[in-house]
Amino acid sequence: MVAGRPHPWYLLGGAALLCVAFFTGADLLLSSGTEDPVARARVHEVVGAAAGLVLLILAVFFGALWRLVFLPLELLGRETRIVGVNPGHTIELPRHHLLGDVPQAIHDLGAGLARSKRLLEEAAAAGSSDPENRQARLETILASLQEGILVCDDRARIVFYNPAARGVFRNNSALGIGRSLHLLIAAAPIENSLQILRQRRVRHQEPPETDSGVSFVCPTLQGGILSCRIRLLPDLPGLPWSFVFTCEDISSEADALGRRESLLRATVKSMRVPLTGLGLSADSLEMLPDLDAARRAELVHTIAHDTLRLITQFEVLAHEIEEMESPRYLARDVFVEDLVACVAQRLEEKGTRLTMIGDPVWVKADVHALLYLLEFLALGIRRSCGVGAMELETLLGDKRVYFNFCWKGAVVPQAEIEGWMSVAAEPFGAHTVGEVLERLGSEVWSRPHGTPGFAILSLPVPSVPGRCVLQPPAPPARPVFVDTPAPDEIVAAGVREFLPLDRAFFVVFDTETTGLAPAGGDEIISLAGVKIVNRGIVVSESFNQLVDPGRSIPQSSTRIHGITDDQVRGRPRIDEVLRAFHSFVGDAVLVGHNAAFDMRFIRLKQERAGVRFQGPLLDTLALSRFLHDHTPAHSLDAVARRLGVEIRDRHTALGDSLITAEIFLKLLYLLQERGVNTLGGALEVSGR
Amino acid sequence: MPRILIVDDEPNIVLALEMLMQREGYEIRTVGDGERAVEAASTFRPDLILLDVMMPRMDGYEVCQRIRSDDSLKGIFIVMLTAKGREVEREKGLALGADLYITKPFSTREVVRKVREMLASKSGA
Repeated sequence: MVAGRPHPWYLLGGAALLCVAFFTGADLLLSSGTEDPVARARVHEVVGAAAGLVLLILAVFFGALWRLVFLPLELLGRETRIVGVNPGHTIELPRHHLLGDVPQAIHDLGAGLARSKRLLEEAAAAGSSDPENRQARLETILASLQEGILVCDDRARIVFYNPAARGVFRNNSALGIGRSLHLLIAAAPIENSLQILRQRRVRHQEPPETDSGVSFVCPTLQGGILSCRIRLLPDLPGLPWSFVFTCEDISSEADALGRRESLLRATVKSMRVPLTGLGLSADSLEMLPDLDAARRAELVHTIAHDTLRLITQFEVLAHEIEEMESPRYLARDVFVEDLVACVAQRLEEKGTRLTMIGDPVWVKADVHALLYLLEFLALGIRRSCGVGAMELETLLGDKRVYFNFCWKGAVVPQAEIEGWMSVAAEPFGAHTVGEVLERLGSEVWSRPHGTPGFAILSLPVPSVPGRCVLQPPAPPARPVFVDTPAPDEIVAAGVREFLPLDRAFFVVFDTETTGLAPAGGDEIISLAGVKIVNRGIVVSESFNQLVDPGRSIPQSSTRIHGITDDQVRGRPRIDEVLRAFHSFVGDAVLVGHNAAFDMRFIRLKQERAGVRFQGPLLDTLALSRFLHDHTPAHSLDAVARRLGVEIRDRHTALGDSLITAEIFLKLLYLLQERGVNTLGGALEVSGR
Repeated sequence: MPRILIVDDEPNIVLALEMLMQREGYEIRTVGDGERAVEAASTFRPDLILLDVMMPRMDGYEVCQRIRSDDSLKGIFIVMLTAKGREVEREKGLALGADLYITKPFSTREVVRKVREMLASKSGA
């Protein structure tokens, strides 16, 4: 019972005291009326008996009151709170009570609440409100960007990031809301850039919108190379946003550049010697015309020999350069049928019919350049040979895909094709058709077809015959905007007690194991966790990993969680997984249902993994027991049902983590109703 | 005696090739551009042409295409000797009718050998 409310037992105590006082007083009064000891004794007896009777009646009456009114009232109070979080909850009360219509009234109130909640949700989902639509559109655009975008607060903690950022940082689990940017790249370039930008802002009084920021190239802590840019954001009242960090992975370009550089250096080095030899020999021949025949022959032989060496080295260089196709970044996989359909449509508008024949293939090339060239060539053939219809066939070659135009008529003369090369290619700025062709690594020629009367024009496109490589499905892509706590509210571990529950970060986790004995050889086979920030589950981030336990999984265990030996074979071992999980958790508070059980497994292995999970731990089972001690049912299923949490994917680590997370959010609300507002308070209730 | 036409706008190369081919015992004619090459093909009637590709006004590809489209000039061997070294460029040369495509810098011994082989096959066939 919450302190401050009068306890019913006090009433009884008070009544009993009054009774005793009354009867003692009556006894004194009545007994003082006579001097006769027998009469006095009689008075004592009567008063005593009367007092006893009255006290008994009081007790019975009070007991009944307790059973029929006070207890049901207390239960009703708790049940009503549950209805507050789960409007569909049926109020459970002992069968006999004197509360009359009140429980039914409250139940009806709950039903009404559920109805209005549903209506509200439907109205919101109908999405007729403009800001909602605008946000949805923004999110769609952000989700489609290839550049990684991170918004940070002034302590370089990540407040927002888009899905592309995850790709740029190669799914590093240290990337997360509330985590520091310094966990991903070294602090120095960020801090230096911020300093420069702040100086600029102070010195030039420039509004931040016009400052294009500072860009730099830096390595990630995982070994990739990024091209980055930092821009300061204007001060927005109420929002902790401070700067935007955009980044792009240039590791493969950097690699290619590096390879090319080393090749050039090696070639230059290896050519010095034969060049020197050649020069000397030639000079000698010129300066010493009176050399004897044998010496001359020797010099001549040396010249020939060094020349050969040079030529060999040159061939190597030329070959390497051809191998490195340059604008790889422009090449995309495209299905030729789609490409040709597009070109055919454009040509149709210009009075030329293009038919595709043969089997279409996938090609990996610069789509933009291809589209332009195919249209250009078709129109050129029409002009040159006077034909209005032609066919296009694609053939696979060794490292090339041939686009062969075929028509009934004469060959296009080479002179005319040469003329095409100097035509300006409008969509490509200052480049000519010839330059576009060269960038594509291609040539164009026309020759007679095997069948007399027909001609071919070939456009071979260097390409690895592209295969359709499906991108791995991106995880749910809704970017989440979140406010991180103000700096003064984040406190060191020792003073956590006063951290308001609203401002704490939580990671709700669950494990699946081979059995119930952590010290008896049982192992974790699945570990999952979800983040709770600012009273919401962060949908875009979760941890879910199968673990190779290094032992077989007993049938009885598989029957519960469905994980077989095949599924865990080859998965990372617990050391690696714990390290990644530790990185994912950071300094959040761990929460679990019967968390002590899971933590025992984790604590046994943490030293070997080189990490320590020493933060506070909250147990939703203990919290539920504290809040609803009138019922013994506190299994995950029972608590979920009671609080109206949907049970999905039960007995999987991720599914159970999500259920526990939703339960935890409701428990947090109920705790605050009971006056538990700080982390310290929650920890105490949870039994630490 | 087999007749060889040498086509190249680089005087040094023409000189060197001429001396080599003469030593092999062939009758030589040299020209410095594409138009004259097409002319010489009809008048000189060579058995084999050593043809450079990169020439101003009319390049080796065009010379090749013209000669191949002229039925009266059937049977002439065309060997392209060129600085255009990319794979696609070689393919283009062969597609337009060259019998052999050799990139510069080349080994003179190789060229001499190949020329000898080709001419031998003609007379033998």
